[in-house]
Amino acid sequence: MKRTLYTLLLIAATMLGAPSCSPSLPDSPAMSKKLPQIYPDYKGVTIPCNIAPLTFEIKENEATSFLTRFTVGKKELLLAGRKVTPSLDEWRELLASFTVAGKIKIDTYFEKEGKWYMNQPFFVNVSPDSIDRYLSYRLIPPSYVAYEKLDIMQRDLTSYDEEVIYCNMLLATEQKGQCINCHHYKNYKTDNMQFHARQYLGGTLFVHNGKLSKLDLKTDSTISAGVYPSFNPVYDVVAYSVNSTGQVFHTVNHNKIEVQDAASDLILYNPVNNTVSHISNGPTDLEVFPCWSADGRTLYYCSAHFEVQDTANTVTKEEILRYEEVKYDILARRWNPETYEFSEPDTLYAASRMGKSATLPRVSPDGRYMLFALGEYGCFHVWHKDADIYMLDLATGEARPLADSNSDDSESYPTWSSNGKWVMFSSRRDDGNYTRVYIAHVGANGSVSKAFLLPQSSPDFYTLFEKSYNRPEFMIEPVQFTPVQAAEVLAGEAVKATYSKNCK
Amino acid sequence: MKNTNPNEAGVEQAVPQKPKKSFSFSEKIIKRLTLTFFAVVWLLLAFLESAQLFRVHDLSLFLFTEQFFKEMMVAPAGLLSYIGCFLIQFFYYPALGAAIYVALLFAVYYLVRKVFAISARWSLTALLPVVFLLASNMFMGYWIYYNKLQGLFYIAVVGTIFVLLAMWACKKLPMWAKFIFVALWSVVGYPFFGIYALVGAFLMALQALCGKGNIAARVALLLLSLALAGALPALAYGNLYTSTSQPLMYAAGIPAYQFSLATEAWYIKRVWMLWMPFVLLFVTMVLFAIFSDRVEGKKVTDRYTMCQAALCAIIVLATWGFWYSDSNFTTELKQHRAMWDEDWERVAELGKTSCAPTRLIVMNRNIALLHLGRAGEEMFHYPDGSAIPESTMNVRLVQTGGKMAYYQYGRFNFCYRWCVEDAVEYGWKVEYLKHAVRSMIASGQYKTARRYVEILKHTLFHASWAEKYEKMIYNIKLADKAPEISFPRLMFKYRDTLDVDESHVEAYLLNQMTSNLFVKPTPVCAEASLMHALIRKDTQLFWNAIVEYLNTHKQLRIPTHYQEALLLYANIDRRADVSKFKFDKKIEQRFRDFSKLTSKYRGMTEEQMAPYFKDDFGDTYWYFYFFIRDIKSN
Repeated sequence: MKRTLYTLLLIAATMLGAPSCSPSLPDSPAMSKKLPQIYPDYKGVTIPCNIAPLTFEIKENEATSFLTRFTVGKKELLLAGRKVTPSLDEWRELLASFTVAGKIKIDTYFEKEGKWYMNQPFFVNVSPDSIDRYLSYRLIPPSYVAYEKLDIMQRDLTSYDEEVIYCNMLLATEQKGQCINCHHYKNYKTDNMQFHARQYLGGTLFVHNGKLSKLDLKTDSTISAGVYPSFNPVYDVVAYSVNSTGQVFHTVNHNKIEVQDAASDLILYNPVNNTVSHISNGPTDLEVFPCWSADGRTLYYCSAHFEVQDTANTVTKEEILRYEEVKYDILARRWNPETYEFSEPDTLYAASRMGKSATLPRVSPDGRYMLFALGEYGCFHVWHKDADIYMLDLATGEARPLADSNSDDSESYPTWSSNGKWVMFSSRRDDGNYTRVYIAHVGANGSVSKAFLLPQSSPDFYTLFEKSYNRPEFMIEPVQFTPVQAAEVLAGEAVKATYSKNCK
Repeated sequence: MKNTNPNEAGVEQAVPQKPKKSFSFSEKIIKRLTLTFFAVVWLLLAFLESAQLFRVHDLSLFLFTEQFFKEMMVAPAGLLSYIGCFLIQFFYYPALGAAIYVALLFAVYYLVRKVFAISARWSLTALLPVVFLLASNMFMGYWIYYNKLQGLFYIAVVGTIFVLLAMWACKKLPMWAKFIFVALWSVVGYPFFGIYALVGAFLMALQALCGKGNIAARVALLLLSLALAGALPALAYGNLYTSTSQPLMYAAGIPAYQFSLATEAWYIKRVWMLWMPFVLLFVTMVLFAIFSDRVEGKKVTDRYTMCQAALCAIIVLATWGFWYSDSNFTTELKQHRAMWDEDWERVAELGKTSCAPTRLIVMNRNIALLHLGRAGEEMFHYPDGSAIPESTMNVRLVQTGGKMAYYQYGRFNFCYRWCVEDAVEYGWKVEYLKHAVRSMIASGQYKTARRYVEILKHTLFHASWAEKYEKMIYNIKLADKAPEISFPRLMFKYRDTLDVDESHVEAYLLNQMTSNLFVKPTPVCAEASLMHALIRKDTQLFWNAIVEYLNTHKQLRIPTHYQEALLLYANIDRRADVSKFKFDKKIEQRFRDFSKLTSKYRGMTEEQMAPYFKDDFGDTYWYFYFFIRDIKSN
């Protein structure tokens, strides 16, 4: 009942226009030797100069009052309360002075048993490198098989504004569910983009030079419709994996789920003539996660060699029994844009030789580096707690983990900002189960700073939000169509792609 | 009745005679009947249905956060959902929750009388909407597990109250103002009240149409309300709301399963009765709107009396007819609550109440006996079987009690999995959150447990529960001391495998508990495994399980049912030597008697034989083995 009473009092106070007073610093507080415990942990992170305000909560359990001071040069911002939520205007004013790299000094004070204390200050580094204004992701519960409402959203990173790109419930009915996934963009722009709808009114919503259409990429010669996409940044083709995917559940292991491909190949789609052709379809190779090089002439992808040992078993059954033996390497094939032909594959990163499995390669816009997720086995590292993000220097072949950004939980789905100055990935470090978006700065020599959690207007947002952020992708502009326009296209007939040995 | 005064009539009054009393529906009687109706409904809800009300609360969630409010408002009728969830939480105390619910039903009754100007003489008619609102909830039965509309229990009641309040306000307005009011109410009300706003606008216009004034204006008002009802959901679709399909925009605030536009006959057949209370509510309100202010007359005629009697009958029959009643459903609910209270004696005791129990009742009872250490003595003393839940739909164990069964047998990942799966489909509920907390603590996934603890801390009645478990996260020794965590952990002793249960909880447990996946099984593990082997009636599984059981139980006496099983399987599997086991003489004698009786009735089918064995051997494993057949579990 106490809570109800507080709520009523709060409403009453708001209605009566409770007088507000600006906070002032306490006189001679006792100095604590500790840094403050805050959530999200923004201590020592590097942020872009155009990011939305960082909000955080001070985790000092027995304290009754709190003060936080932001200092940039002579500018100061003083905020009261356990939840520190600078307004957009206050924040912009603070960050306005950062034309070169600098720091925000943050002092936190708390009152306990009538006495004020001051924690050690912490710093937030501000980089003059701006970040792409938009970010898109799918909001999905970290569920196993069931799905209901799924949204593909776009978020303005300079504020907290969030919009729906498409929600599956626009078309789904009680008996006919629709799954949506794999949103992807060409060169961070939205005039060439796509996402898939599965089951009811399934197909690929494909935007080609600004024109929306619905495609059916399944042909008699391929094992499925297109799944994981990669737009060629230079030429008008898209590489897809085609997969026969299943899920099984751990009875004890904290990873909880294994998502496995019983079969997977790569295809190339030519949107001009609506034709697909195979890139790679080795019978004992599981090829997945295509990614084009910056010049559009090399296709990187992941591949695991898996052979059935007991002929009485199906691939699926044996993969379940030997799931820890499925290990993916990163391969590369040169592509000739004149002939549309691919070279034989070269192994770029032989993770399996190290007893590891590498997935989700993403090449930096300048073509120098490749990010990927590395775990012990398998292809679906979002469920693997040992998975970390690694960076491969394509010039030297040297790979190293993002030591300051990885955690003891799952890191997955890395990607680059359009200027190559920021990397973004998903992580389950907060609670072990819900995927959140983390962003980190890339220094001049490829060093990556401590990652920061995508800021929200309230610091306890993530504590209460029961959805995962899936496939975070940067965009430099918002999506051009409305959710209803997408629904109308998806409600219509799909244009069926045709198969050809060479889709040129 | 004609009253005559004897003196006025000039008749000599010799012997005082008792006036002949005949029953009449006086205003006083009607008032008493009305109050009795509400009192009886409260008593039924608070005491007869307390377990159901508690479960309705457990299958709901209300958080005191701004974020929760925002999440409720992503669909039309969001405010009704929000208010509904807020009120449902008071069913934590069923008597209090029932009192609030009945008070709101009374408010509907009161407002119906006011809005439609129903006189005291005809006030029983105002109970009809109340009955249909009550029916919309009490008819659900097993549907409570499959509801996707948050706050459902109160949505119709609160929605109707808002509609009536709006109608009351509209009624007092001049015609020109009615146009503005109906338009505003529709536009502003639709996001908050969904279909109730649209229906409310229609009823306002209909009431005006049947009233006095310029006929053209009255018709125009009705057309306006219909136009708004048609246009607003279409305009809001995709522009204001993206999480609802276009057809369901017209049904916002009504459970989707009750307003499905599906064409499949089986689906319509299953749910059409569930729609009836809503249809009847609407029809009643329409009739009130048409005939309001028109029922007059003060005479107590025979026709009036018959009308009132008929109304009473309709009210009683509709309440009774729509009130879902199934003893197995109630037993399951009571068992579930007792399981959360760790009252295993009561869970077992409740297992005796049904002569044709559902599998859930049997499973719950076996879990209780395992806790009490009496499975070997009692598990075949109780009624057994696999009665199908009384429902128009295919009720799955995984929704009704599967999560608890998985938890109790140490299948923490699977318990958690189904919490998440069902949360996706039906939204997070208090029950799912609590299971998630316990299963994540029990399996050592503390970071994940903490997230659900944090959510529960924002509830009204479960914050202290959450704080108790939060302490366990930071001090695992406390969890070891808590029987609700430590007991299931005794069965968390098996190798990891990749698996699927295909949503068949009992079949999966029967396979898993009798598999050879256990690593260093504890005595409880071994006993649970033996229990499941007995249910599976598999000779080899039994021998494996009894060996493990005897290895982990060094007591002198083997429990009765396990002795019975040893004698039976030794008899079936002639290779087995059980001479080294010490059997109770009484059990050996009974087995000989059982064998003799079997010989006596040889030639009969099992079905024909069963009654002859029931009295003397109905409490033995032998009876279960031979006569409890065709157990179906889903």
